Amino acid sequence: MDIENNYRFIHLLYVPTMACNMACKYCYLEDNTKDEWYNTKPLDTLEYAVNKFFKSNIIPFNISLHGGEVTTLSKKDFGEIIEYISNYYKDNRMLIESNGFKIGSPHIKTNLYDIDKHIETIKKYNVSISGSIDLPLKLHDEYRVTKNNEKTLDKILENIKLLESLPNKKKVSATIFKEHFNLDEIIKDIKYLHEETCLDMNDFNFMIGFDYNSNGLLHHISEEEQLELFNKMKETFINTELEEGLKNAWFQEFGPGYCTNCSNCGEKFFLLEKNGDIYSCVRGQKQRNFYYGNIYNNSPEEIMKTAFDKIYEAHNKLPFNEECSKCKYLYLCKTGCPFVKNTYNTNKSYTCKLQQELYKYWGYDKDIDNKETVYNYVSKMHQDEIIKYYPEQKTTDHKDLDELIEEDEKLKYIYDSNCFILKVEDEEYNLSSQILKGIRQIIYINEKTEINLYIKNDLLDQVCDYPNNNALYMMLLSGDTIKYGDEKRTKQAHIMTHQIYKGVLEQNKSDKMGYFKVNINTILKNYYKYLSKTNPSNLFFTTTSLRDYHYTKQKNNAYYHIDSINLPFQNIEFYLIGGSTNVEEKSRNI
Amino acid sequence: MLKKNPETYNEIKTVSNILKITEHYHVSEEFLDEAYDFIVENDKNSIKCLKTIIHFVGADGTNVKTFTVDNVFGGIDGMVITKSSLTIVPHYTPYTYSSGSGGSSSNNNNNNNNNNNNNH
Repeated sequence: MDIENNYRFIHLLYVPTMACNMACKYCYLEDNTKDEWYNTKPLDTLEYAVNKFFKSNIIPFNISLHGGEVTTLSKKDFGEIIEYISNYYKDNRMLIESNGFKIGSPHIKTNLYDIDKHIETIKKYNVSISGSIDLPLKLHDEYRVTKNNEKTLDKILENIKLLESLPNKKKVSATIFKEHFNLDEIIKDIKYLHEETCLDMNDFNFMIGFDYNSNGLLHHISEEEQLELFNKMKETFINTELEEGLKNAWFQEFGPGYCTNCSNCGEKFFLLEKNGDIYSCVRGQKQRNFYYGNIYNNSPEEIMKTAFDKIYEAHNKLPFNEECSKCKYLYLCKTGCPFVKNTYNTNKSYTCKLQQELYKYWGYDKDIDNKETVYNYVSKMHQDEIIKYYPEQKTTDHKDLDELIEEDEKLKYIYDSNCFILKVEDEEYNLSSQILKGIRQIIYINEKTEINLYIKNDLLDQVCDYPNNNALYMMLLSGDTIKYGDEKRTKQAHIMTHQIYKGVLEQNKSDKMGYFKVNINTILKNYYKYLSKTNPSNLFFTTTSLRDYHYTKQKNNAYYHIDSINLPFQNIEFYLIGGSTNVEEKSRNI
Repeated sequence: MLKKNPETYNEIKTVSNILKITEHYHVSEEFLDEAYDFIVENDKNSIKCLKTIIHFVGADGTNVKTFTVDNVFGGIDGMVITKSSLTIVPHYTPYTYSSGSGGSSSNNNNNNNNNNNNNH
């Protein structure tokens, strides 16, 4: 992003016509392949949208054409749009490239059936072409037919010959469903297209079909079959002329540079139809949940916000997948395409295994300690789950606290979240170490609040030779801070410590099995007047022995000292209301 | 500001919690009133305030109502409010992005011009 001008860069797929000259049996657009906006010139909407986006500092870094079928446009309309895109790239090259995006030639996605009609424009503007075919080719004529049910392969192969003399980038892609899953035939046809046509099959794309609206005709391949496809291609094409394609373009759809691997693709990818409607992409086209608005009726800001919100919502139909939270490649995958996830009612990528295999093949590092990645992801895309995935603070140059705790059995009890339960009136809080939990839990109490503490009854036996000399150790700190020591470090002011020996705790009746119980509100009450009136105060619990062990460990170990520089014990923060605290005054002044 | 004038200890607790929202988010007076009413309606109701959204979460854990907001004052990644307690999620500062595997990977430039539908 250009910080100074606050530009946002988007990928814009323009559909200048919904009309199509073919009637592929599995077309995702079904009955929508007809042009109903006869009175609007195809260029007008694109020009209007680009100008409107520009005024809002939203810059398309790529404008590609998609259908319908773009070659059904008249020569004039097609030529005008291509000329416009070509000039757009020329005029904005510096802005786009200086923000890290590459500029190519005008690009079209086509079925190649009527491409001969536009060959002059294609030549003149060096139009880059991406054609769709079915592999094995013998299935092409079965599925990809004209509206009169005529075969199309021969004409398409003839059209490909027309491209031979052009220097333009020309490629094809094929979608693999179960019905296409004849790997030997696919290999044979890839070789044929590479050797016998002008297509450079190093620049070919595999896509994996998903059967959301293929009229029940086609079925998706399993994750194991996806792997089989990749492995068979690897086995066949390694050390051949097509090795480059295998390593790069063929499976790029599953790589991190592709739209399906964005955290929120609604920030960057848009499909614009001639009538001004904006959708997420071709997958979401004509789908209500992926409709972002209309460029003639909505502001770019509204469209961008709707896009982000709808994609967020799509990713949140189901909770964040636990497997993804453990995956070392989450940083590349981001859980996959929201449209497909919603279609399959799943919360992980439908090509998960294939992606993992490809990441290994491409040499991506594993994000071994992925907790930060997970948190970054959920804090953007599954905000509901930030508490669950809040990471411990990490250090870069030495062992983390959790590792040190794991290595020292005696430290465990200082940090255990099952040792203390605080019952405030009727509500119970399991207390955990403030260092480990990261998040802050704050409650409200007043002088009359009933507060009971439950202590696991074997806790006083831990790290202690003479448990009868051991005690529950409570520390009360004010929310107000003081400076102390030569270094003038700021910390919360200690108000009191209080110890209750094991022999006393044993005599109290407890209503919780395995725990001692002690009422502490009468103890705390004596100190309420010393507490902060503005900031949450802090109450810590441990035992005398554990506290001693903590400070001994600190004295002898620099890393532990650094990692537990603040009090590590189980705690709760609270506001005191009543008397003359600011909180209460603030409430009264409402 | 809130229409509710707190008198009892419980009301003060709840109002204090609701007012915490204003420390981190731009919200309307109507929103605060609605939030207060929602929280007192059921002891198990809660309000989750996150980076870009605020959820009213019902007793059964489902989101009853969602608002999109700007976490304008920063400093936190979120907070959860119940009738009697407040949980604050401090802003997490990453310790590293230095390695090749640290989570800010792809720029998603998608210059490969292959933004196709699978069934086309």
